[in-house]
Amino acid sequence: MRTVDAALSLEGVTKRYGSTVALDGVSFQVRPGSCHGLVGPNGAGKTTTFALAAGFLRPGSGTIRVLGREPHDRGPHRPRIGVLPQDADLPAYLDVGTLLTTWARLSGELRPETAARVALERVQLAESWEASPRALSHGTAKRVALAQALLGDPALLLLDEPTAGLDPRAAAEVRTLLSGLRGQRTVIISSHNLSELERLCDAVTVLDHGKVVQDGTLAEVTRRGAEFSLKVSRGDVPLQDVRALAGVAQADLSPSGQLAIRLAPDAPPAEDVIAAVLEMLLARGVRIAGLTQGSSLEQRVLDVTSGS
Amino acid sequence: MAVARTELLRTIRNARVLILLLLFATSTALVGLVVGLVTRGLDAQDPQTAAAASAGLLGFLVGGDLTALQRLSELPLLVPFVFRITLFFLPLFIALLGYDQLSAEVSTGSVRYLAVRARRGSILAGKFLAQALVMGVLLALVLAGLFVAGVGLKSGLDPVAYAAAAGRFWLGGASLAFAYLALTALSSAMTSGPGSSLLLNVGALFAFWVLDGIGGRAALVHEMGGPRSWTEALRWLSPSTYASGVLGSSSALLTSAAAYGTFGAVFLAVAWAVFRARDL
Repeated sequence: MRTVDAALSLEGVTKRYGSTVALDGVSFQVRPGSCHGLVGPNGAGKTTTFALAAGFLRPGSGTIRVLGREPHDRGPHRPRIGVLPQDADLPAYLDVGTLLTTWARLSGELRPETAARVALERVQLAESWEASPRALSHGTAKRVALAQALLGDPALLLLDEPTAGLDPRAAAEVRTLLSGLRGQRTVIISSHNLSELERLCDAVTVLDHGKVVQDGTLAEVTRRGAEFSLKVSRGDVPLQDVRALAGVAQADLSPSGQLAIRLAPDAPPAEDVIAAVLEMLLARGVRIAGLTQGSSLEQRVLDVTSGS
Repeated sequence: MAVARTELLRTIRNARVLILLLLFATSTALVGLVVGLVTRGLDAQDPQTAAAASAGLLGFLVGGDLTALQRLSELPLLVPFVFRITLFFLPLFIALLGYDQLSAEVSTGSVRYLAVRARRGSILAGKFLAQALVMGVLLALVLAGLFVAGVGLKSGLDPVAYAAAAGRFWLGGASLAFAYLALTALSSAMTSGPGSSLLLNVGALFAFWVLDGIGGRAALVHEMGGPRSWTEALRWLSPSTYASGVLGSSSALLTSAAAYGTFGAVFLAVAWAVFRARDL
């Protein structure tokens, strides 16, 4: 997944708040046009990474490039980024429409009011144009903040917890919106909702205590091509015969009937091994209730982080 | 300019700011009323008697600046006195008006919506411009009120000279305001909360006042035949020292304006450097 022209690139980035080390030599890249998840437990350094990428914070050491430029560059050739900051209140002194129009103007929109209205419609909040930010619920304010991130046709979107605090319907609408952005621009999302990231993202970086503990495509991180498991509902599993199949490095059956199979490094494509295993089991009268490729992202994050 | 316009809207829609503006205008009017009552009798006397009597009072404002004394004595006493009192409280008023211009937005995180789109220098400049515009207009309104009120207190006023005096006062007041607006911008740029910003700003005003007091006292002792002290020079480091020049002769006004311009430029430059480098 590593390419020379990265939408976002961090190299040995360290950030301290006093004596607290928020990021410790963090390096990873985000491929242009991809949807990239940034995950990890609270205090892992996700929000700090976002703030550094957006140019809100300055790194203590290391190099950050956003669309090939310095993150705090706001000159004529500034990187076109949209940011949904976490826990940033909307200014309360102007109505939503005026705020968005002002930000659209600053983002270089030629028709700022039109752009602001379009952005608000994209988050299904056209009726909130004249509302005061004070009167908005947390979820609605979050969607207004998301609308501002879309202004200026950003090539890179940094979304910190975009669905946190939203009701299920609003969260689903935001996910649909984000799905529609895939391929059009680079999107980096931080979220504790890992199933959401699994649906949206092509790649993930897992942070823990300010360090990268896992980084790669979703398939690499969840080991989709390296392991799979079958839920056995009935029948005796011929474990030795399964282990003897080509490409199978390890096969274990849990008391609950979960048959976990790890592929050898030189195994044929995972689909071929799955087909061979299923063929053998079905031929021996074993009944299968389900198939899961790799681990869930949630399981992988739990595996690689300390959980503190 | 978008930042300045937004800041202007924030300022004029802010209940606290509106109350402050109202308080400032009301207190100026009240002081004007009291001073007007006291000086009405003086202004109503024949020109020679009035000039002689007012010279003593005006000496408090401009010291031994005879040119300034002559010029001020041609005005109703109300005008320079109330304006001088206004100038005394103006730095504190400016601090109360704008202490949260940046610090409040940093504390709530809303500054990030601007910082992702605009240079930090532009954010600082936009907010400063908006505050300066409000102060410029307020000064003009206060002076207009004062000079209009003064018309009825003194006969034989030359309209052209009277208007020119109003212009000079505005220029002097505006230059003083420029320095203190920049100090407020600096305080707000350095801090992460409105409370700490106000504390820093008021603390700086107090420190400048103390410097002026120490230096002024040392200068007075020296003028009265005492020994020269190095502390005499301290007053030149305080913007407060230059306030009397605002009402003084042309050269004193220019000196004060240049000093305030320098203070303002230094405060703004430091504010820019701090705000540009800090975490938001």
